Amino acid sequence: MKKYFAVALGVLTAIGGFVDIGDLVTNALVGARFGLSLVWVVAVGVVGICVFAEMSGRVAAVSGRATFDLVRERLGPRVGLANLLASMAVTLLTFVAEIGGVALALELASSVNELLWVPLVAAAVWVVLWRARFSLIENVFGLMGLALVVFAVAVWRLGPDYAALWHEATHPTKPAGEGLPTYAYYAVALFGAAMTPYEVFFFSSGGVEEHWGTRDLATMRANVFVGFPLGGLLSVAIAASTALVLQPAGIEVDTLAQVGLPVAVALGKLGLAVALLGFFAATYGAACETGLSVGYSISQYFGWQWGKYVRPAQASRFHATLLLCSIVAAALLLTTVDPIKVTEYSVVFSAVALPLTYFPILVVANDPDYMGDRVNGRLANGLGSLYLVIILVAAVSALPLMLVTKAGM
Amino acid sequence: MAAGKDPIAASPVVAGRRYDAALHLLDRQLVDPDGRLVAKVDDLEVVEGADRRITLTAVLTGPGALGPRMHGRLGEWMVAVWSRLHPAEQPRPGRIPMGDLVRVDSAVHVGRRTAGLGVDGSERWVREHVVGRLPLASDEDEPSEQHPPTMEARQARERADDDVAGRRRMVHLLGLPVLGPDGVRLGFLADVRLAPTSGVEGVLPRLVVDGLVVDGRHVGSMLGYDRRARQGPWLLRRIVRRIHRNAGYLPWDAVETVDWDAGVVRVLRSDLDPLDVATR
Amino acid sequence: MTGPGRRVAGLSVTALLLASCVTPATGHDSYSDKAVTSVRAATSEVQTARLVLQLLSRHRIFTPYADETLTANEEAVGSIATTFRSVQPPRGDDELRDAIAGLLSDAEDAVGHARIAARRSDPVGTGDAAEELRGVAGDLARAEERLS
Repeated sequence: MKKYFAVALGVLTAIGGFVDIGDLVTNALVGARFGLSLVWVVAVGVVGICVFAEMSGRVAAVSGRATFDLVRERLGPRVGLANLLASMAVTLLTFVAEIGGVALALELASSVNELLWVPLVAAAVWVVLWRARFSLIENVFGLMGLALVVFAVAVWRLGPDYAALWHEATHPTKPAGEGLPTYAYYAVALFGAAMTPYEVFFFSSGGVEEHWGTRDLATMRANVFVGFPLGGLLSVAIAASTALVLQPAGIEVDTLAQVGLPVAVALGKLGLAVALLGFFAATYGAACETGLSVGYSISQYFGWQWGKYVRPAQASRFHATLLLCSIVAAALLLTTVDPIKVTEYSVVFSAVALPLTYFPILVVANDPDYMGDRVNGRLANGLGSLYLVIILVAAVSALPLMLVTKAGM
Repeated sequence: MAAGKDPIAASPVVAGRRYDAALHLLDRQLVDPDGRLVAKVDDLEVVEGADRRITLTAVLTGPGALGPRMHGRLGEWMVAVWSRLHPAEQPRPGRIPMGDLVRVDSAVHVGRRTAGLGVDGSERWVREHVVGRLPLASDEDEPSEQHPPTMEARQARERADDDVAGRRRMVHLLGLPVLGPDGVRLGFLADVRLAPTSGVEGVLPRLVVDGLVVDGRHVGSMLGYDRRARQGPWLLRRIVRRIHRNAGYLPWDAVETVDWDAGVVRVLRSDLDPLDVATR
Repeated sequence: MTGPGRRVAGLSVTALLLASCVTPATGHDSYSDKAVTSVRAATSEVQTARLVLQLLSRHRIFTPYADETLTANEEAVGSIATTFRSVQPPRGDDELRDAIAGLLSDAEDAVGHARIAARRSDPVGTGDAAEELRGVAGDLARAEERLS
């Protein structure tokens, strides 16, 4: 009984924790502009993250080592450092976007300006990372993030023509008013939002935090193969809601407020309140995850003791890194940069950094030295290799597309 | 190790688990008996004995050891900053003698607790000056921290270590050009194979260089694909093998000399053995 | 990085930076494109304001949320209008400039009135503002059609 409860909890937190500010903004934006014609990208991205999250989770459970730990071992210190700097830059950018997202959600709920919230939010995130237990962070924000199910409820309430929606999703065609480069650009952005690089670092380090062993492989796989796709479905619900309400009106999403409007239309104040709670939980939880990921990556490169599973004084350099990150993020946001703009750039740069993250995982998951007899099977390797090609295509085309379309204009 | 005596030359190679220095030891995580993460194996210390055999004597950690492995201005800067911030006059990199190692698997396990190893200077500094000053840094019932070895004890250990002449680092060995009998360059030293000897260092047998892995390319890790015939995935294996198609192996008896000063390795034959040999 | 590698990297970075800085060539087509982009962006803000007012009148949105959204809309339209006005029109496009600038100015006013009425929780004011926004939205739609 207890085992079923644990599995259910894991799946629910995986669903609620899947959506972050990148998914929120990008899916809402794409839904309002392209309808459901880019949903196939979300599907591709979700399958990809499932494949690689399972791999990195398995590596953590079987070898007891987290992913970035092994990046330096396999790539060497120089290439490993380049990998670290690039991944860290992208994850830090995402961290900034998440904290900005929390501040925006609080601004919408309170009318107090976002900039005034920023230092408070950065401090609050840091305090949670400093003292809260890892499982508490995961469970609380994961479950609260389930509030975003309100978007699926809103779609249902709007009473759409499901056949038409299904047709649009399964027959992707570029809308008439948009150019092909713009369509491709947003495909890459959506892909980067779904396959966030920090997710696999966080997932495998989390596995070590929670002392996963081979007996936890089944639970881990349930979380990944059930939780992540359902989380992906939430992303699609967000896109569908803006496609139904905002697209016909010609409204383009460039603020967090606009993301919530379809829920207000469908469900009124109550729905909107739940949506705001969902925004807050998703961004706060993701802020914790990205902050921890920066700490994990640096510590695992240099071999420092890291993690919430030891007392803070025993992982001083790790916690000092987290503190520094929070301060830097707050400082960056206080330059009045728009968090939505930061989010839009962070998902594209995530796409660029994807090969750095996923390539080492594929290598390590095949190495019997770490995995014993639990190396990748044919399916994992086949999908992994296929996705490596897809990821390379996305990574290489991201920056040129950004320049050609002037970041999606 | 008694002063003046050089015991390293004697022990012959025996059967047993072989390691590749770069593949199995370098950049691996060091873990203490409590499961605490100590540091990374940033470099390895080796000593060339009178019989020209090269023995592994210690693990080196810290920016002082990692810097040179970065091969460039970044590495020099790393070492410069580290020596500036290090309290000692002539700082030495963190050193863990081979006698303290107990097992090598997905990590390198040491037999002594982190606090007793004396390689956690930066962690202690951050703990004292940054983290310790923050509220709620430690719980009420915290057991007293193990005291690090005192300055005197550390210096005494270092003096004993000093008795072993000719200490070098793996970073000085790897990457050296390998020249055949007629001076033709066969490639670069990508890795060295270490074999156990009948001598014992603590728990593990004393390891000595038993062969060279030579690669045509100067840079680029082989990611482990060269050592095992069927490691997946197929696509990556093909690509890596193609890039490193000129790699091969030379046993120690084919080595004439390691010329540290000139920075070359001279060998007695030009044909390399195939690499597909499992290290076990 | 080795010498040639560094040079290639440096050239690539420079090329990327230059490409992002280059402004498109002036000319009627490009000015017309700018006009369309401005009109579309203004439409998005005006329509958002309309939706918010509708939600307010049906009590389906919190007043602070509505206020935040409308204030953001007002700022955005203002910035769109200012940016468009600052662009030098090519010869022969002065009439186009005046027409679009006037339209954007109307949009600014309409959204401003909406924000004011919403903040006052003034039902009559919001009704008037909603009407004004509807008119501007229609004008913007016609302008976009004529330009495309």
